[in-house]
Amino acid sequence: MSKKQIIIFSLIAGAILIACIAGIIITQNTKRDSHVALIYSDNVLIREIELKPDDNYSFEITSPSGGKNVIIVHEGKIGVQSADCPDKICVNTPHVSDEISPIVCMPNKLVIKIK
Amino acid sequence: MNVKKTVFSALLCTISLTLFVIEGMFPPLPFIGTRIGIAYLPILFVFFIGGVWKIRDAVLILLVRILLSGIIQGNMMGMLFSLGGGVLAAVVMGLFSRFFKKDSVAVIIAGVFSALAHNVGQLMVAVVFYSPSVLVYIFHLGIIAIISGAVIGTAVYFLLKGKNKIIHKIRYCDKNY
Repeated sequence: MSKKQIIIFSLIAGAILIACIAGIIITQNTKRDSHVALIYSDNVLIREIELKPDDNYSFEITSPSGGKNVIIVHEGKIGVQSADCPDKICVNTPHVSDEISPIVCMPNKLVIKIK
Repeated sequence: MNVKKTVFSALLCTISLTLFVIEGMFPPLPFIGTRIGIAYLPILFVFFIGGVWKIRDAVLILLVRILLSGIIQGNMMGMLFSLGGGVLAAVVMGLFSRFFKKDSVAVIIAGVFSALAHNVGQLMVAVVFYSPSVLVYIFHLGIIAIISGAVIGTAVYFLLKGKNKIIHKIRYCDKNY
């Protein structure tokens, strides 16, 4: 393998490395917008919320069986601020901004998914 | 294929399998499904050792290793992923060893590009069996592939560079040496 070939192949590998770093930066910056949170109560879709990075508000959802969950939207994330369910699993779930894991409150049959 | 070569093939396959199992015991890297890929060290070694070793021997060792690792893990899905990545990586390593055999600096470059090919192959399998959204990880995987491929390629480069009696024995499988 001549010196010229080594340089060419190293340059290709370096270019791929730089492209990967650029790709990570671009995907992380564009991920912020266009996420939609779907809120299901008792398996019925009751609300669709667009998660904008500068939105900051909270609202209350009452389930058919009377349980209440206060949902908060902030910095492009959605989460449960407080709930009257006994186990508080939904409150302790970290606030989400991507589709990796949904927030679930089993006692109040509330599911928050992100699309 | 004489007896000595058969034994060395089995030995190298076992080394690769052992490295694969040991690697699985390490805590996982922060990104989903990434491994360092030390199991490819003996494979790359066979591809570039020369002597009596042909490309098809290395491919055979790789395929046997993937089959055995699938059986040991009990995870056929994992075997499919290994197979998808392994075939593409073997193609790249084979091409590099076919065209740049004499010079061993090619090992490092072959390590980098075969690691990249391995990730591309795995992602193709993931796209077929899961969803196209896994393609987001291609950038993370690419960075890890370049770093780990360079490290493993360098390790094989230094293995082959030294005038080592054992390496020489494996290379020629000849009792006269």
